[in-house]
Amino acid sequence: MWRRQSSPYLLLLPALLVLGVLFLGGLAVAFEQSLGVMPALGRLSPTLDYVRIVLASREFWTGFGLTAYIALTATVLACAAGLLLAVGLAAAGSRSDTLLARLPLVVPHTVAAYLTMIWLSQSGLLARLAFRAGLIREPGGFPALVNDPYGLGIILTYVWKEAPFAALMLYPPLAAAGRGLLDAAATLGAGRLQRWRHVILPLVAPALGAVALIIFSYTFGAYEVPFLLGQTYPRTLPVAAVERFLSPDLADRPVAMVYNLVITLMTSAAVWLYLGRLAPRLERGKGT
Amino acid sequence: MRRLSLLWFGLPLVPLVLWSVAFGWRWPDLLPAAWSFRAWHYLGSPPAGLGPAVAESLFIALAVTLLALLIGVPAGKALGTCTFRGRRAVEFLFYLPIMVPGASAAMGLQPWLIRLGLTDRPAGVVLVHLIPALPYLIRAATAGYAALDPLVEQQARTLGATPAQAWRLVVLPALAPALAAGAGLVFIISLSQYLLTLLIGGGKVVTLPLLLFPFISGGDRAIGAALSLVFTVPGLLLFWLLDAWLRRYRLEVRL
Amino acid sequence: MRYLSWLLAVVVILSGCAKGPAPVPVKAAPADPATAPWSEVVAQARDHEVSIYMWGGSDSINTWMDTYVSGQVKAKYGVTLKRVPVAATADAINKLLGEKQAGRTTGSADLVWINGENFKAARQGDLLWGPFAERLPSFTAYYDTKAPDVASDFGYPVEGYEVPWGKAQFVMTYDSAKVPNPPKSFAELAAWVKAHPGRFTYPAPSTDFTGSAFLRMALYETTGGYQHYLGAYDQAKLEAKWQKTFDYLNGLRPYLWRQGTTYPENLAKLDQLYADGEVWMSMHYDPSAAANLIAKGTYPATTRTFLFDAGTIANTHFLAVPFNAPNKAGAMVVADFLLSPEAQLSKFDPKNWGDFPAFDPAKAPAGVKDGLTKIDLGPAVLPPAVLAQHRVPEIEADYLKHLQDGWTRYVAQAK
Repeated sequence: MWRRQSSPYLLLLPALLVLGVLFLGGLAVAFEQSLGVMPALGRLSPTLDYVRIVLASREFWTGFGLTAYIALTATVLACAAGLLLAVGLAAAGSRSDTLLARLPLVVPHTVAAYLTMIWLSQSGLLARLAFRAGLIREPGGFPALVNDPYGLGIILTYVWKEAPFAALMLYPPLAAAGRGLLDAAATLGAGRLQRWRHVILPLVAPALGAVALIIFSYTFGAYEVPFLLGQTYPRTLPVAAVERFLSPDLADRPVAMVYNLVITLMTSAAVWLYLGRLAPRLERGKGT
Repeated sequence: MRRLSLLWFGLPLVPLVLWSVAFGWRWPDLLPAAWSFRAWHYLGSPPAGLGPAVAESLFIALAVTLLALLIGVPAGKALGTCTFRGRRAVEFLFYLPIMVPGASAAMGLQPWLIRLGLTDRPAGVVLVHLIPALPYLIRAATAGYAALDPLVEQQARTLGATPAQAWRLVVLPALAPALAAGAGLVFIISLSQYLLTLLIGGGKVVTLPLLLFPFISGGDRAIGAALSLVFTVPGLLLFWLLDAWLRRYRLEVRL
Repeated sequence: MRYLSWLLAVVVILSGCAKGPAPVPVKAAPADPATAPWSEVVAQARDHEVSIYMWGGSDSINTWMDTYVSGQVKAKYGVTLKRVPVAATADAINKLLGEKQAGRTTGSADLVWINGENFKAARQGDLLWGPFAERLPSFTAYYDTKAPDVASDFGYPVEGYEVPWGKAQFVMTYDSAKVPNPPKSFAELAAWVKAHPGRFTYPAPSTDFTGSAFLRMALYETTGGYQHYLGAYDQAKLEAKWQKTFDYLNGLRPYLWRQGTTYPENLAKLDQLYADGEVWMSMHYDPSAAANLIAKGTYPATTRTFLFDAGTIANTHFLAVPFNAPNKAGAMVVADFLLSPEAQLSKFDPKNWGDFPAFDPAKAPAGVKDGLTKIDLGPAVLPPAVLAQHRVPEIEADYLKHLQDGWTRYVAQAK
């Protein structure tokens, strides 16, 4: 039901102003600086030199690869875990379960990284338990799960934090359909696998796509967790960008902005994918 | 289900309590060698700056939430009830900051904010926190408005309510759950910001995450653990309260 | 429409309510603190606030600053001291750089704790105010103003733009329960590391000051001494010699913690590894750090410190005033107090900080000289006499950056 309104544009104005100026404006300046334009230093002519330097550097591409790998793995695992959690909650969960499941949402990423360090470092709690159990004899015997080359600590932290978030988004369509649908399918003779393929997955598909895109974008552009749990080299793109931005050497500033640009482009692509392809499907799905 | 949830979500936090009162906890001990309240004692003392950091965090989060409501509700109304040209473009803009990290924009904004004198102060930090937070409220408001049945408001008007009364007694209660959820999210988002606060606050605006980060990236584990608890427990309480309130509200409206 | 006016009203009110920096009503200075007589400076500073930007990672330093120092400057000069913690001095310099570019003539920092490459970057960017050192009574009375470690900072002339606050000397810390015979040279260290794989590492020099010092000392020993690098920066000379250093460090790699595939990004991280018992040695610029950490329960009580026979790097750390400090007179007054022998003595006490004094002991008043001998450093700290005999100097700041970059390329990123 659409209603006639005093111009919707007026209602939108404050939000458009705020986000337009702060967000788009900030990105515009970042873009400008990536081209080497820094009026405060008297540099007014744009140049592609910095872009060239970055695109030619091994450091950038290794960082890009690492960032994408971590984001993809974290997304897949978090979505899978979130889906299982949502199904579990919809099927048998109680009030306090949902509350417990939402605990990680309230824990900031910094603290989550801390927890990973405390539990999973080579001298961490799990390692000490392993020692007690006689499985290892010194810290070096425990696998490297933080500050490790495969970003395992980072990925695990993200999964712990984002799975509840995914569950939160996937729960409504499952709960709305209710147990009824699942039970009906069971009575009609559908096996476990079939229930998944033909009932659960179609129910959550649009929301799953949205959640996956959100988690991917977030983990791609995040700073805190990779900074705390990552390796000396290579660094993920956001960590490298901040390091360059805070460097006293001004020549690093445009390089930082090129990194920022790449991050912005990757995550904007995710938004475009969501709004362009998934949201319309979500709309259509509502009609069913 | 219950036990699994407890294990996976609750158990990880337990060592924080132990670390906060530990005095020497080395490999391969499963429990600290000795106990001490040094960390808590320090946090309670003025040099730790905990009180001011909490106050600053809350003040900024409240300001961000208030602004987000004021700016986001009208936007949600427009998106949730009207059809208009340029709708897709507006949606795209509003959705961007959810996925695109605000840090890049903040790095670009920094020189301008310095010029405007907005760096090193809470006002500037409030502004940048709006970048990641506002879109969530707009989404919530949009969903809330879209779910509204306009007929109910019309009925109230025919029964003699003024527009203001109709809004207060019919529309607002219907929107409340969505807005509360959105506002809660905005609040938490602002509370947990680190990088944005650092970039624009210049280290002078000290919020809880700024206080916490140096201890986590190395240093005094006892203090880091204690601070982590200080950070997490109130957030938990807030969530629990919000949950309870939302449940009650939904019940009332249904009746 | 009504909505909009409400919105505007609230935004205006909120922005008015938002706390700005505490008002520092420094009147258009009638007398320039750089040239005015000391009594004028003190009068100007009275009843105003001074913000000091310094590393905030130690709760004992924070407490000492916020209780003893704040209390004293308040009582003596009526100055309110505000300590602003920073993660690293480079962040503060970066901030000043940004403010200079934006043309911000009134900043927020009055004093910055600084030295080395940060000082050089700040001077080159014209970010500091001065010269002011000779205007401070404490400095002229108790300090050897011509001494090389006071008159120059990592080879860069100080010229009065910063004043010495304390002295540091690089020491290695180790767990005497696990390491009965600590190595006496880098060669012996290498042998020890190979015999105990996974028990040693150093902070990444590219991101950490102490790690950078370790790298420098490796350079000194593997290339025949620090004498080669005194004087002006000679990049060619460094590059001609540094291969030996990188060969040494690459030789260590497989035996380091995590097989040298990653390094703790800062000293605090290394300390955590040591505290957890993962590695058996750490390193510090602060000779008293071990005592401090034992007292907190972070370090095992069996921790001790050792030096290399060839000596370790000693340097001075300073205080400087930014170009756009809102309260320069106040900054001078606080700096003067921090330089005073009484404050230096209090700072030396490991219960407070343990940082070695920067003044000339020969010029100190009798009471303070006495106090120096009475300070109990504990078993983990080497006596000042021993430290003094094993000192080597710092070299030009440019060497640091280039060496760090070299390490990143030839060690961190090497296959």
